Amino acid sequence: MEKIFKNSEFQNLIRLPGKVRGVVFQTDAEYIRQSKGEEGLAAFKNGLKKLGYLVDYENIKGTDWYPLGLRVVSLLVAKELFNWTDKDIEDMGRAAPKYSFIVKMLLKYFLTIAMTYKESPKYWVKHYTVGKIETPGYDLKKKYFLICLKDFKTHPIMCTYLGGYFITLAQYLLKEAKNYKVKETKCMFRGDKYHEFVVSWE
Amino acid sequence: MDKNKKILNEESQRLKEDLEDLEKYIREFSSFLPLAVCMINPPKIIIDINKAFENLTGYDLLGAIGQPIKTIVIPENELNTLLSSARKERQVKSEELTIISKKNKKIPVTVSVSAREDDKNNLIGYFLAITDITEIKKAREGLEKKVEKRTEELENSRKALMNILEDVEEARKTAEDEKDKASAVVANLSDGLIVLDKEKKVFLVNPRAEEFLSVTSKKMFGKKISELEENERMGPLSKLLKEGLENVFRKEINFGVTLTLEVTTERMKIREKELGEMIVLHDITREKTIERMKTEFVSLSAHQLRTPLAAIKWTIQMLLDGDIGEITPEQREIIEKTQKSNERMIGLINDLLDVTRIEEGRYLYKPILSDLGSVVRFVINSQEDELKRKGLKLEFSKPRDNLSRVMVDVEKMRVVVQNLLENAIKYTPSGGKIKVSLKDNKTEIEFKIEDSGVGIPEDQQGRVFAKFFRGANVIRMETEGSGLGIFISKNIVEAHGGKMWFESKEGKGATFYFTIPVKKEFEEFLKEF
Repeated sequence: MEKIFKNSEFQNLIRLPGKVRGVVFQTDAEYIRQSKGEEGLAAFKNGLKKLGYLVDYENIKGTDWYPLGLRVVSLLVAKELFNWTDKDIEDMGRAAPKYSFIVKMLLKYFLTIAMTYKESPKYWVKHYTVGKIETPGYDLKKKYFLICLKDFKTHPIMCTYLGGYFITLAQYLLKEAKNYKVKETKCMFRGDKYHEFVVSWE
Repeated sequence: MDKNKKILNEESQRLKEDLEDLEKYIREFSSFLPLAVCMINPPKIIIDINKAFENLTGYDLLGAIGQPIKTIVIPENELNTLLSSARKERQVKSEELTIISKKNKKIPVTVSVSAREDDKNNLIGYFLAITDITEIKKAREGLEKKVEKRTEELENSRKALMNILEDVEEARKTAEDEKDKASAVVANLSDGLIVLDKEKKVFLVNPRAEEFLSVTSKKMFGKKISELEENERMGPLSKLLKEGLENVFRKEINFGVTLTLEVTTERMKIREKELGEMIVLHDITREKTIERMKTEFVSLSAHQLRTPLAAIKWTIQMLLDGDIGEITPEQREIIEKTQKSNERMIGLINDLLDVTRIEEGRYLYKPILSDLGSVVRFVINSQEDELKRKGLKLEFSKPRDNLSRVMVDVEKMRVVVQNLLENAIKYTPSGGKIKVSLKDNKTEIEFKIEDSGVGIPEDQQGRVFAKFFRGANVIRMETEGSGLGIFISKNIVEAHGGKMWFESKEGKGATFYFTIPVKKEFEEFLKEF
């Protein structure tokens, strides 16, 4: 853990402003349980514990708010612990909506591309207390849509995670599509004013 | 304000807790549920599944969610129809479809669908409950195969039955045709036919019988013949049949000159099963008429011939007696031959007259109580010269005790014995032997005459008692004879209530027998006259 977490960086991360719904921890735990088993999950919890955070995944409330910093740290711990690549983090992001109880409750916003696209900002605020989603447009003929995430500068790992997340949301809407891809065309960590994700498919 | 906020927060917290509890409850319930369930959104993409769905399809949650349902549940068009139907009718609809598992295995399933709508009646997805019916299907297919097999068997049975029925129908038609033919034969039969059942009651009368007996079949049905005696023509028939149906063979019933019927009865059997009896009435009126005319002609001719023959006889006798003048020995020899021929001719004419009398029923009998032995002795004595001339030895034997006396027409009985003895002499070569005997059997007297003559050819023995019969061997011998003697003799014997028969072997001689009844039988015979 020490390799990736310099004390100062950890302190900065943990102090990130904003909160996130407990459901993200639930989906993380479920993903780890499914891919690494109960032992993997135990190791993951132990990793966080070493950092001073005892996360009771069994009793996390999906609708409760938790520190955003903890959410970022937990992703970094998982990546470090399981030696995951960015692709693995993206897959974790892709899996998150599938496990999410809240997503299932919000599926009424996923009736059409247009509706989903329009309702995405609402969807965001149901999960995060910081940052906001903007939807500048999509093109079904050219097979892509854009999602802009503003005022949300946490850690690059979140960009990877959210990219996967957006792919799954697209997957819910495009029944004839395949080979989804996501590309972060703009990133606040690369000096841009906001994050811009282009989700495309074939 | 703070108080209200606090209340709102508390309420919000309770709601969140309730939601959490609900989520947990649903998750646990969903995991526990053995029924495979998945949820799809309006674009028909899987957005949630339960554990049973994972078990059934082999897809885990991550693999299944996000996939179009059509990639797992097929055929797509039937699934779409089912979804539309559930949405349209707003009720759970089910259909048998197929799951393509992750391992590409086809699993027969029943898919039940319920459409989900929000509070504005917008479609927000569908619940799909999926039941594996592999075992049911196997059982059903097994059952269907059994049913199919059984159906095939039944179909084969039906075909076989139809064939049998066709055969039966064909047989029935054939039988019907045969019956029609038989009915037509019976109806058009030139003979009258009356059929009696086992109780001797009439159950079939053909039109010819109705015509013969002047009675309708309706009146005869179900009645015994004896019950119909009152009818003019049924009376004689009934009388005849009283003698016993089985004994009637070619017996005649005469209804004046207009109708003579020959009656024969026959027992009807099919495979040893008694069915009844039939009475055949054959119209012999024409034959009888012809026979009568013939007899009349013969009788007339014989009478006409006898007169000139008698004149010839006397003329010849006068010539031989020299009443007309002396004749030379050569002339005498010729005249004697002529006399013999004339005598033969007279004998033949007499025989013919006897035959005609017999046939006309005019052969008169004058029975008297006589000793048959004296009759036989008389005839033997009359033939002694001829026996000597031919050098034949004759033995006559009879019981020592007196024979029972019999009622006979002595003249006719002499004719019988004479005919038999003359035949024996005629057909026995010189030096031969003739044995005549009488035997008293108490109830009848038996006459027997045995010769060592030429005998009767075996193939001609059936015609011995017919008129004008002469054996081929005796014709070759150029012996004299009309062929009427045996016929006349037999008729005389039978008119006395007796029987006549013979035994013979060609070249070894012949033995003729006849019997004449005594006492009771004779008394009955007498009643006839």
